[in-house]
Amino acid sequence: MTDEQLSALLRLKRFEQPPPGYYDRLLENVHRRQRAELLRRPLWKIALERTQVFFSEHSMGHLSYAGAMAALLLTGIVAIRVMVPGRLETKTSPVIAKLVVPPPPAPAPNRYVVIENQPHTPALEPKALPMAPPSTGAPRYVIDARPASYEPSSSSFRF
Amino acid sequence: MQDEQSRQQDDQLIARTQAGDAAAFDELIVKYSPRLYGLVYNMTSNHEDTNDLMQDIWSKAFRSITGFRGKSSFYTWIHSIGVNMTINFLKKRGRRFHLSLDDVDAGVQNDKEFIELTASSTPVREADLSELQKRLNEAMQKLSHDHRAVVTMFDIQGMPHAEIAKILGISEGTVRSRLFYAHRQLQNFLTEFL
Repeated sequence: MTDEQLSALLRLKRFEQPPPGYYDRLLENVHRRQRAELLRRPLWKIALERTQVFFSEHSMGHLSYAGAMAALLLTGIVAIRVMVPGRLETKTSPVIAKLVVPPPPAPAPNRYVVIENQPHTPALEPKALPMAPPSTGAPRYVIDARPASYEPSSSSFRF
Repeated sequence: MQDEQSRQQDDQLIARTQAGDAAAFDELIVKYSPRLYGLVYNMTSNHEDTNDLMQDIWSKAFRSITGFRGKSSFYTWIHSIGVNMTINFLKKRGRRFHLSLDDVDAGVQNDKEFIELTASSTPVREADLSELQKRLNEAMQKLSHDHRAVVTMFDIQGMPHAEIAKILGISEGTVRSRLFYAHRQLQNFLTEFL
């Protein structure tokens, strides 16, 4: 048997056709199959599809749909925060307290603020200044970083 | 395999189907079912199996058409679904099959090629038409699924190598190679008869 004979024989199979009216029945059968498949679909698929249809009916594209979902999620989070504020504050307060506590002040001897015609005000608390004189009520001045307005003390220098 | 006008018509029908017009999909079914039937039937050699498979193929195509992006023609796409589903079916069916090729179209007896073939060979002329068909189909069933698919598309449906390669997702060289071995096998099976 040659290749040509074989090819001719195989081409004859093109004449093998289904019985008359088959294609009309096929269409009906396919429709029936599609309806049956719709009924057998799982619930979550139907719910998802209906959600998509709902958004598509409101003329929103895929991006709008995603945006709407994100907005809904944000609204939910904000609503939860508003409705349950006490729990959130209780949980966060210890952290805030730790952050607010300042470190203890380091002693800084001989630190004065140079202010003209102003009452002397030490930068730190008087207790932290070892050289601070007792308060007399009189104004005190500082010249060249040395206090110059002390009242003459009763003690005198001896060389 | 397809002219530009036909392809544009398909594109419109697909777009309408994707937009929810089921009637457009019916038009695609009517248009492509005869060729698809030939493909499936010549691979299964059984009308009942072919009928079931045709429904499965079109149902699957309907479910998947929303994902069809037109990278290939609809013709290639639906044939690809058809071949894959038929091969899967044949693998499940195994060797359990029976031929139902007793309803050959009467027009074949008037076909020019058939007359030439029977006139050129004395044994064939003497052979009964239904017997010839039966032997050919038995020979086809002895081929592997992949070889049968290639023979069906090339020799029976007249598709070019490139189209077959696209449908099966293989190279044209593989198509030619499979055709060569399939022809050798068929010739061996039919030598005794002719």
